[in-house]
Amino acid sequence: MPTDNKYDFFEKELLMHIDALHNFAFYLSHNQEEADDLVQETYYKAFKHIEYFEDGTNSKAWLFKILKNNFINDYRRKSRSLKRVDFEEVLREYDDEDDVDLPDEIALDPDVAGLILGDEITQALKTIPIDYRSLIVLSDLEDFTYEEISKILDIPLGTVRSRLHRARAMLKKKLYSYAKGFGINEKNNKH
Amino acid sequence: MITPTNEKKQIYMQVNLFLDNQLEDSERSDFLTHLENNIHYSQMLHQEKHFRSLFKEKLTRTSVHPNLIEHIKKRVQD
Repeated sequence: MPTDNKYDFFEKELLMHIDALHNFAFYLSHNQEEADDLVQETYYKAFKHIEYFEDGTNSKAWLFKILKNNFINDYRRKSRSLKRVDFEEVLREYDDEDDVDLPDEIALDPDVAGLILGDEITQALKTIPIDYRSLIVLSDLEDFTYEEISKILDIPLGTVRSRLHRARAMLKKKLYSYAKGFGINEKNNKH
Repeated sequence: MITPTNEKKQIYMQVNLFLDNQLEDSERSDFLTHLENNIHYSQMLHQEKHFRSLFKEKLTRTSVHPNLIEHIKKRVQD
């Protein structure tokens, strides 16, 4: 137990992450109600097992890991599957989209990027597969380190690195498609 | 053989690892040297930093209704 008063710890140290947690839940589920439920269950479980939280460790990463596990459990319940499933299996069920061939690097010129609006960024993020999407949210929105992401998602560090690289390329490719819709042509994007 | 395309990919990878704080001390030192001497490094670093800040600034974030917070607090106290 991190403090003598678990209610104080819960409110001061854990509830402060609720917006970030809800955002992650929303980008996993794409559904406001499901995100609310996931967050609620996450906090309930965190409180129930608060004695397992190690003082001095990252409480935000701990909550994100619980939420990810809840997301998997929800999937199991909905699919009425009693077999053990891991995050990778759930991801494959959620996204049956074929892997796309991507270049290793897509330059998005600041002038081009400036034309892209928030709605388009949000939409582009929503359309990329969930395993890649979750990495972008954890890294580029929530600033988790590779090590923390590896622990939250239970994937090796090397996978974090390669998948994140690919995720950013996917996102930029989508955004570049939107930018082309504004009349930006190929040569604007070449150096 | 290092082709221009491969070199660009390599720079892009290094820029991302630099921004993600994933370079070892010696790699970081090499990167900073390249940054001073190679315009492609500085251009790509500028683009990537700009993109990341745009992403953070413009991405829609969901907000939690105060009722949900109260509900959670009540539930754990029951």
